[in-house]
Amino acid sequence: MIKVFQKYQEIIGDWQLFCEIIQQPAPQYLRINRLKTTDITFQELVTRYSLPVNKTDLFPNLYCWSDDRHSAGETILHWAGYYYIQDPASLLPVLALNVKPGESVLDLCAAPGGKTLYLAEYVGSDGLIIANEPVPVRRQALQSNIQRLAATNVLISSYDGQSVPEKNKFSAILVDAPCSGEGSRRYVDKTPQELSSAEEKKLTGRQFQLLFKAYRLLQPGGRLIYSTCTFNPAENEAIIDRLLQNTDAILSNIDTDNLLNAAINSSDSFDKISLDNGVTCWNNQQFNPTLEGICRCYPHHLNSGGMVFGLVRKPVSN
Amino acid sequence: MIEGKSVYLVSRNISYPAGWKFEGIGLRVARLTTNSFKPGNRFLQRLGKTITRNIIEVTPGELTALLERKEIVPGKVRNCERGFVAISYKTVVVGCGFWSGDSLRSQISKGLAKIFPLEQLI
Repeated sequence: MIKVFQKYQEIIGDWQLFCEIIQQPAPQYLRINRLKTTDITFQELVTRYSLPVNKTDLFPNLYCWSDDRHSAGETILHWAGYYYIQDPASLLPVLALNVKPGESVLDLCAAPGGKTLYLAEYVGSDGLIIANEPVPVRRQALQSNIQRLAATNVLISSYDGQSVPEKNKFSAILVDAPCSGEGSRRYVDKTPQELSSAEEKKLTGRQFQLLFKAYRLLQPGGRLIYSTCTFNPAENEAIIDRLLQNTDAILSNIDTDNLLNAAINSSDSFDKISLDNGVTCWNNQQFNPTLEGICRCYPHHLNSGGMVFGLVRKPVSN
Repeated sequence: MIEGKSVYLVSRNISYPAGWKFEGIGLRVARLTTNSFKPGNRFLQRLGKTITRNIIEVTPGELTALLERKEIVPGKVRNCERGFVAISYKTVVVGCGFWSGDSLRSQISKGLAKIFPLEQLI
């Protein structure tokens, strides 16, 4: 077993399955770009281009790439923006935010844009996504993906977490925080390294600053999703716990049945899958018991990467 | 919306956040030149099948040659005037070209040729 994951044995529901799956490379998944095409047209293009893909039991807008020799990024249809290569677990936080057509949504750490562009589909042409990314090289990738997928409702800004102006308040915010990336293990041919305590302290400090800033940017009654693609509770539950201690924020339970209903096509598969809950104790630290309402999607749940996310609300009377 | 020398397509009814500095918005439609404009590759891709004139459907061999930056004489050209045209492959618009009246040259980013092996154009 990969050493860095050993410490999670007690918090991962199906440890054996996790160990088995985490060491295998993940399939490449394609999300249809509904800003540009429809599922039916895309299916026709798949046939015309003999695209080596299969439908999966997962999201109806998702295909699985089946050619080992080439990447799904090496096709005309990818170049022309008909699909985005995206991990299915990364679609869950977007669904959990449950944005509405016409809504303005802030995506605080937007690059490379997979979740941003999925949000853009949901808010539609009357809505707006403000995609913020402070790192120039990552912002370039974000801009390139926005152009490739032809989104006309995404605005790019470059504030660092602390300098975002607070004049505007939002009803919905996504904070997909920079993290140690343990959940991407199956996509990168590299064993994740254990963070030193100094590195972890620096990273978690940054994560909390971002979440705290996002909370200040919320309208009363607004909601935000805090997500990372790492399993470490210090980067997830502990961050939200600090917010709950320092503000009037409320952690909402995520309706995982609804999420999985949207995520999974086949009712047979749906019966077999359930996401793990958040943890309320880690390294002798007790968290707010409501943090059990966080969702932990491990690679064995959807045969994907990993994603941990929680839904935070600001009370109306704030 | 015009930003610098480019024109961008932005959704209607967008209310911009007040006091927010932004680096870009929307889909680039065209780059303005002294007397004219050059359509953006991504904008032409977005228009796709709605383009009915000034579009040239190319064969795999022709597309390969275009991506190698060669000027070609396409087998089929209909309803095309001299100037910028859309290049289409298997009915998908891949980008912009310049039709001189006799020959076609690619205006597609050189990046496309680097992205995938040309032998995949089957």
